Amino acid sequence: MTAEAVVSDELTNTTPILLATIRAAQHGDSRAFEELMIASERRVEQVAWRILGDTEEVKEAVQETFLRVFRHLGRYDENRDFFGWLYRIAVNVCRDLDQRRRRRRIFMPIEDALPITTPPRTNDDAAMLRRAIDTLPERERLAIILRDIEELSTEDVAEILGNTPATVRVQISKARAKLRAWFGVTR
Amino acid sequence: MMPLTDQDFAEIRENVMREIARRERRNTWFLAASVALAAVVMVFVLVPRQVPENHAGEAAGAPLRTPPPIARSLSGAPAASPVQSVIATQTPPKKHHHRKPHSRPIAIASSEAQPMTIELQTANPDVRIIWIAK
Repeated sequence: MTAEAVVSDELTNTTPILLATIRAAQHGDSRAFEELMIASERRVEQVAWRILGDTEEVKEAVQETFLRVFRHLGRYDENRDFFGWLYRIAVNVCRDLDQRRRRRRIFMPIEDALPITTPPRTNDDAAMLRRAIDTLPERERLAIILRDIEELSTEDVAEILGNTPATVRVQISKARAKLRAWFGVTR
Repeated sequence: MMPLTDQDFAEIRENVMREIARRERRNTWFLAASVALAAVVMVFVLVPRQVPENHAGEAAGAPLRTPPPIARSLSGAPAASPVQSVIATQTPPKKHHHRKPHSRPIAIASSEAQPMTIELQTANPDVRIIWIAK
């Protein structure tokens, strides 16, 4: 087990240590902030990968997420879950990057654009699921990624997306129906 | 599937820390520049308020240092008015020490300990009125 993994485990499993690290980072301790990054970078990467699906964009998302965390760390409320707060920042960063990418895609030459409405003929279920999720509207896509793939609770997803739990349930329900229909077309 | 390696994460952390340091440096410079600008603005705001006071003092004292009208009457020219006045203060401004003294100072500047003296020259060169004020 690497030193980084030890730090990560200590921080994620022991709340007082995590809180102490956050407080130190809030007071300008750069070493503490680095430890905080080590403890949470895998989670940020995971959610960024689910949303963006591109290695370079995931790198950019992780970096931008931690820059925003540093900028807003002073406003973090200790009574709330740190990783929920971190998720919210990461999702917002990924949303910004995704919107930028989609704008780029609009202005892409038509011969370079991928046909996103036509399902690819492939046997790789994960890749197919990724493509199917990619066709969903943004809100539904984020809701189903956070709820069904990241396995967060509906309440957590609602908080991260700034919606009510009822809205998230509706979004997830619609997204599942669309995915079922999408897979029905492909199989 | 996790696309990033430990090396990628190390690179990301390094980039983040470098960016944070860069922003802090930039903030420090911005703060220093703001303080300097505020100091310059204060100097420009405060100093012009003192200058008019000095000018006003000089303006009030200006007639004291202008060539007295009496000089013309003493030099033989006809006097403009029956009575000319010359006022000499007991403390002439120090910043004008470089000026040449009048060739024929009519006003007698008393010593610093003495009160102000006003000398009036009438149209008759033989008659002078000297007024000493405390």
